[in-house]
Amino acid sequence: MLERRATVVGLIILLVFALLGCAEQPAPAPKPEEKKEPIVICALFDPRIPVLKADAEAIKTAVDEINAAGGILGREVVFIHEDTQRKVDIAVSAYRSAVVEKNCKFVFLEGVSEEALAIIDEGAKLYPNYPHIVISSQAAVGTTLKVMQDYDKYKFYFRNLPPDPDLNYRVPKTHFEIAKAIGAKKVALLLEEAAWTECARKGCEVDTPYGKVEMKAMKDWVPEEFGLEVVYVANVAVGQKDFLPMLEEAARRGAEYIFVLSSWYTDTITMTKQWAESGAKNIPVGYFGGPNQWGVFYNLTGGKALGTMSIFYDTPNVPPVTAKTKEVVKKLNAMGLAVDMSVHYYYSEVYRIKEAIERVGSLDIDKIIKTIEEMDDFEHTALPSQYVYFGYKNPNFHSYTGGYVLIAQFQCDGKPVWITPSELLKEAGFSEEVQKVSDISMYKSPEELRRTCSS
Amino acid sequence: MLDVLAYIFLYTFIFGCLFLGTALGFTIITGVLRIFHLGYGMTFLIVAYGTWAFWKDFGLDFLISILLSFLLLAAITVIIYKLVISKFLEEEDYLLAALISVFIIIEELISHIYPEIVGVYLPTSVTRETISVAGASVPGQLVVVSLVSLLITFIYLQLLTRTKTGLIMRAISQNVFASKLMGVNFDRMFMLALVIASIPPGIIILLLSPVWALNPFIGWPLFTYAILATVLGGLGNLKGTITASFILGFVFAVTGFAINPRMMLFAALVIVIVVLVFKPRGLARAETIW
Repeated sequence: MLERRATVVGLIILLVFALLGCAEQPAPAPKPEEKKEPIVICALFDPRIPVLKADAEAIKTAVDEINAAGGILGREVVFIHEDTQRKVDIAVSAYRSAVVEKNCKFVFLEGVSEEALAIIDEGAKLYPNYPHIVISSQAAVGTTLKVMQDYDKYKFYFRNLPPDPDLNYRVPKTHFEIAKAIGAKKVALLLEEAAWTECARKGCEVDTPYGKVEMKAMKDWVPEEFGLEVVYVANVAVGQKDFLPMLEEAARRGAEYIFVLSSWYTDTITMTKQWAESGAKNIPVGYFGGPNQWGVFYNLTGGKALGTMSIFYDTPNVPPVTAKTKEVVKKLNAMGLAVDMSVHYYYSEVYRIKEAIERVGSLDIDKIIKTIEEMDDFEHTALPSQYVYFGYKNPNFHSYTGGYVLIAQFQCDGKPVWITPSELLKEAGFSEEVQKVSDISMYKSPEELRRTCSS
Repeated sequence: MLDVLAYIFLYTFIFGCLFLGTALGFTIITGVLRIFHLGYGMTFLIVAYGTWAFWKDFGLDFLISILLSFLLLAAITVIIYKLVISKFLEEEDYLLAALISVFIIIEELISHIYPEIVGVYLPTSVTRETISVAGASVPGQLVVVSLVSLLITFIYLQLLTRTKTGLIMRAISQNVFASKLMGVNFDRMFMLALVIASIPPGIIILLLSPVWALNPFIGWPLFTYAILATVLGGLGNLKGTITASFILGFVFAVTGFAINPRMMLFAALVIVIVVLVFKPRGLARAETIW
């Protein structure tokens, strides 16, 4: 009896389970949508210095554009700005805070070599627990050597500028080509005295795992390679204001071209004002970095920059190095920002990061580093792609390579006229459209410009 | 060789006058008020950027803008005297900290409103010619700066030596307590001395701007020139400042044209230190400003 009752109960239970099994399955309760962690990009820049402020703003602009287009892998990109006050200790502290507390995976650092040299060692300690990438536009060679010599320890560090031996050799060559083309035979060299110019001032020998790099001092390679006589060399102190002794001496020794290896630490505004009223005023002067790369430079000098030459990309009329170049300059100019080379560099690097993350498909930093090293089709807004390759085939591993650049001369009313000989631009890989815009025959002597522009 | 000598001779005069022009006001302050005015560099900024603001932002005539910038400078000087200097006159460490803080605040404020990118430029060129003397050349504008420096110094000397106000200032510089006993309203005289002292640096920056960059941080290098000449001269003695200015001008010129232009400021600093080692009170420390 009991057995039969148990059998019936068992059958009923089976039947119930069978019926439940046949019944329509209720839809699973919707899981709350998984919120994707944002990608944090930190910018360590001193906003008091206009160029560094513009660098940070350019990074932010690129981040905003990326977010407006849907972010990276559907993730929002968060931009955090930290003030370094251009002091090494504050920069290191801000960097630690960015990586450890704010979870920054990508840190952009202002181009100050002293800060970068401190941060790269701090970063080596942080990297195992907090994988991240650092990108900076400093130029002293020390950081690149560290990456080359101890890759696993320092692989997180990239430099969006060539290191000293390369930067101060390949890029100034454009100026000496111009000097030759305009008939100069004697040159004067005014060299900023800072860590980033050491090889240019003294020459240097650098041992890398990829071979020994030897670089003569600029005063030695200029005569050898260009047949130009160097009649005067002077070091310019950071913050120096009295340039007349140098300029007068250059004139006294018969210089026919003055090249200034300058950065933001050389007061090229004062130098230009003094040049324009000195005994050297008829000697063409060519600048490297500094406010001379701004369109407003002409106004800052009260028009005395007439006839000076500089690496120059800060105008919506800039030659179209890439499809984005003009658009980016226009956009940043509209925001009240001047676009010197470093601004282009930082802006472009944000897009490199985006592309690398998308290729990897995750935030696996080791893989992103490898991907960045293998990317050779990267679109920069100021340089042809071959100069911004970070990988193993580049002798400046994890740094840019130097090459010919666009140099403009300030002509009447401050109008920039590009004068880099077009064959050099062709050699450097600039497009035909860019080559067409730049022509050495458009160069005019400062004397001629003063005479014709005022009339 | 001869042209190098010509350069040294010419630029000793030019640099000497530049030192004098920047240091004149600072010497009056240290001589009359007996304070080391660490905020002195702000005077250059207030006149330069005040002129720009009135001219460009308010659209006023350029010359009126210059006048208004000097009135603004006078007003700020009086406010700083009332709120800072008179309050901390007896507490030197607080006073130094407060004055340098005011300087930095003004500098930061200007940097915020007029960052370099704004392109501030004042059309104060008197001449754009290059002047040549015995094979040495110099911007004509610097000759103007030099002559104006000498002229202001001459006028100030007349003020100090030939007027009642100058007499009172010299009395205060000799002995502030005795002059108080003689009924001098030293509070008013201090304020007047500060305002008078703020004029030369204002004029110098206006005339110098065609050959020097204008940026929010220009106050420091000019203040450095003023300190060097005043300290070497013997804080607060105008004869000492004049002598020191031309000694420093000579050091600048020799270093710049015959040794290494990179070392000009370094050489000047070394000379000042060496002189102070042997004459700790400067070249002409005296009990009076003149």
